[in-house]
Amino acid sequence: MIQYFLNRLLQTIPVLFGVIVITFVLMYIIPGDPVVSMVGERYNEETIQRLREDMHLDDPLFIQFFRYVGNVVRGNFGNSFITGEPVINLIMEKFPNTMMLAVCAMFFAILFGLTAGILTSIRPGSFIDRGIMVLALAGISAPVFWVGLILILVVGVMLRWLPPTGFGGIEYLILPALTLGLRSAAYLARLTRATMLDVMSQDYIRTARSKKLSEWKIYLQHAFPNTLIPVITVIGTDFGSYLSGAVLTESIFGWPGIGRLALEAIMKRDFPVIQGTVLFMAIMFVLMNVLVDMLYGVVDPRIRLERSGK
Amino acid sequence: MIVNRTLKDPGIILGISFVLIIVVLGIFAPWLAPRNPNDQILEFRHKPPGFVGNIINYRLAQDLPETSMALQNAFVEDNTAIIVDVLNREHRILLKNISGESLTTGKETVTFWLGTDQFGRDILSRIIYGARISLMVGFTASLIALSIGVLLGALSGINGGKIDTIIMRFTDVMFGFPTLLFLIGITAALEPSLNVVFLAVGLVTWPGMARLVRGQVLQLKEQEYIQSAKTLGISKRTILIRHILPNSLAPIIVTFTLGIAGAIMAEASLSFLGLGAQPPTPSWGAMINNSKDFLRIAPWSSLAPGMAIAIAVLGFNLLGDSIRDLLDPKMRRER
Repeated sequence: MIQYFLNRLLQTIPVLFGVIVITFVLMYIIPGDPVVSMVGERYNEETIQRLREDMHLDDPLFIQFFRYVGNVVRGNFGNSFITGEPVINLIMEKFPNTMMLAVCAMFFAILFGLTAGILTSIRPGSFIDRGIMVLALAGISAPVFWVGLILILVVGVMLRWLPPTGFGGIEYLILPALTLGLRSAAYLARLTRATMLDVMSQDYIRTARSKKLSEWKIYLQHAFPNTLIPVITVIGTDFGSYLSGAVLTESIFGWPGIGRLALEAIMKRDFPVIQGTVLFMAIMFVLMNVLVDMLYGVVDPRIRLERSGK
Repeated sequence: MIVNRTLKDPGIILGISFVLIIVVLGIFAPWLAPRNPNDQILEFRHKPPGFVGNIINYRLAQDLPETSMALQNAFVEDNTAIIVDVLNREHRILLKNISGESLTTGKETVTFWLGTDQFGRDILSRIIYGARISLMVGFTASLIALSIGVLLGALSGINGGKIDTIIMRFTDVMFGFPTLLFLIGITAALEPSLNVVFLAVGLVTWPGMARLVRGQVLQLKEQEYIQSAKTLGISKRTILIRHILPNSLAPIIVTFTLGIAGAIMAEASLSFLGLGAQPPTPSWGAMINNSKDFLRIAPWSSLAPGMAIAIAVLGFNLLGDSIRDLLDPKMRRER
């Protein structure tokens, strides 16, 4: 087990390095001089030259790159062009909000996804099954920002049940979390249904039936634990991207998370903040994926053995 | 047999119909759209679906582009039309500058089936033209992803060893980025435009295809007929092109089709964030972005384009899933 964890952790090092290279290159290919975009219209040659020297922009590229890597490793993501604040502080200020939204969205996704998946698997082909599956498919195909706008309109504006946008108490959290979690819920519903249908045709379920265990007992005690794998799969595919800034959801609901921080930085062309947030989100995403892989290993011994044997 | 199964599966019928609708709208947009998608009638801002209004199309001079005006009444005096607009202002326009069906006054009654947006543009026409953009993004980006993915995947699978390791590490890094974030990064670094979106979506989404093709190559490489081809001294390239790729066609087509859905969604998302199509391009995502501030007074102008995106994405998703089920029942995978 420890061997598997270590292997998996070691594998992330080249990926993280690649992520750093890409964010560095991304900012390097930006057209225009970063110093000019920093000082704006009112500048003179002297200021520019001084800033260029301060930022070591005239050094050879690879030296700049190593300095960048060194800074990143020490948690220094540079300072915002606009406020002068360290980027890492901005990120740390917004990250708890993103985290809160992500956890709440995942909670909704698992609640609704599992329920729908199990309900549909009881009688495949029934009216309920078909109805929910069509809804799930629509949920996967509908754009997040559109779903968000509909929720704002119906729940926030027409029914006035919840505040349409903004940030504050728990009532502000529900709509964005529902919006963000919908896709995962739909995906999880389909996965759970497939898993349950597969499990219910296994021999050990037939054995349980022949022992005259009640249908409910079979469902809850024998079949249900198998849904753990789809749940982890969905957490694995989606939670990382939630944490890495649900840019669309946060921007619609005015939720002050890192996704919106990144988007605002883009609008203001605040390059260090863009670079820092993108890098931070990508790191979160990679680490989340590792964590989920480890969870798989804990839950399913087959995966652990197969992967560490390689 | 395939036809039989096709007709029994409601999913594929729905998928094909949705895709067909979008494709037909996109190709025949100029003939199907009731109005010019960028034509503004400022007097008809935020009109609800089904609104009927009288307009007149005219040019201020023979060589200027056509404009439209909402009107209340119109009558002709000599060679000049006297037009009373909805604000009771009188305009005099030379008859020869008036275009439209009616020769006397150019008065035209128009129904705005899906309403109008904040500039008085016909939403239905914009959605019809928007299908072109979505299709173009879908196909171009998927083709780029297909080319890069097949090339790198095949290189990786056929050669193995160092080349394989390097390419696969690279795809790992690409997978390390959340897709939308990566796209936002690229489009933010460059000037936002549709062309950048085409390219960026293709350049970001190929790793899935590369992994798939590599897996196929690795699997087929061990098959006996490939082994015998090798023994016969047939070159790697020929084996790849003549034997391996044709046998991997089914999963490649499926991934390509699902990739179109993904690309359409990606373009819509980027344009919604203002990082894709720029005004006045009638991209569905951009339409929602531009009208979301008017959600309370004119919800239709955001809801209708969203519906279009959902139908297009759903159509290509269903089509991809159904092709997978039809071509290779073994590949059936719930997603």
